[in-house]
Amino acid sequence: MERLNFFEEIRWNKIKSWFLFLVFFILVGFLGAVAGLVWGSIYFGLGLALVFGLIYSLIAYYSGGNMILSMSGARPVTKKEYPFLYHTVEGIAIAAGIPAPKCYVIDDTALNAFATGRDPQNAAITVTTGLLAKLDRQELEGVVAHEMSHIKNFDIRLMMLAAVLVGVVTLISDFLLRSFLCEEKATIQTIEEEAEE
Amino acid sequence: MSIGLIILIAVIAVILLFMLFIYNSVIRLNNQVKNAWAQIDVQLKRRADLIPNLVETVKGYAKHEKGVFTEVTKARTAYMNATTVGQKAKAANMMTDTLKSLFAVSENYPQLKANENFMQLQEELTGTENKISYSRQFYNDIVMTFNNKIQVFPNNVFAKMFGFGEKQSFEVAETDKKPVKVKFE
Repeated sequence: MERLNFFEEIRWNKIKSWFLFLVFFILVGFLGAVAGLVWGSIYFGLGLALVFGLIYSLIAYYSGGNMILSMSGARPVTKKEYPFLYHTVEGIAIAAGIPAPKCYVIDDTALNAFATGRDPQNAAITVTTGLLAKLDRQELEGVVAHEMSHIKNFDIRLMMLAAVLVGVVTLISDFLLRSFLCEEKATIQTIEEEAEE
Repeated sequence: MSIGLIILIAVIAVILLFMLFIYNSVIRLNNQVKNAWAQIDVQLKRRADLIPNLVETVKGYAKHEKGVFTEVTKARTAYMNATTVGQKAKAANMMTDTLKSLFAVSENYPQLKANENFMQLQEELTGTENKISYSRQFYNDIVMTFNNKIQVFPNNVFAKMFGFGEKQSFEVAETDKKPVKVKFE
């Protein structure tokens, strides 16, 4: 496997991310416009969708990694606590040519590991205590190398963008659905009021 | 101006731009190669720094194994005093061999093996040895990228002009590939 191809893959991943971002905005805008049409003002729907989309993407881009870490119950660890883990991560980061990601640990007997971070400069690798207990050095190196390749390949940025897209579409759809219920309630109320008169 | 002249100027401009881009990326790669080489030294130095502590810990339990201690300390001093690349490489190899002997000898002393300090140092040394391998691996990868860059067409035409030559990757000496003989004195 030629190293050059790996660089090209990274370039393609970044280009795909931007492309996805564009599609995201077009799709969200379209959905917003449709919702706006139902509500009576296309611009309102469009504006709402785009504003939400922008805020959501910015939050996900800058704090997405930290949010995932705190939601999963990961705690940052020092080199003194887990020298084994740190040496493995630092070593593989040297081989990969990226700065060493921060290490986090989850207290769980299940064997699991994941990587977060929008780029190699702001990355973190999390492993469970179960994994650290069960695997030997070579096996841990394999897991860490896998996670490190996700970081270096910018897979995480792409994934978070996709998650945000799903989130905003769900949000707008929810708004639309609830607005129908409100309309129904309002219509029923009006009918009851008219019936009382 | 005639069409021919315009085309000629355009072609020259394109060639000059090409040369600029190629030169800049080759310069960057050249610096990356130098950096990668220096990083190997960082790890080797780290290993050399761990040795005095290790020797003291082992001495506490295995006072009679004087042979291994002197060998390891000699190798370390040789590394600290080495100036040329060749000397450094030789000293580093000596360190690797003597450390292997030291750890083999420590197998005879179960109390030493259970010692907290010794276990920590062993972990540190293993981690550092791995980092040495990884930094050599990275160095070889970046050398390959560099060599590719200066050897593909049309870069190779300009690379010679700018004075960039093929770089040598880090190769394991033939003696290193043979299994190490461990002597118990």
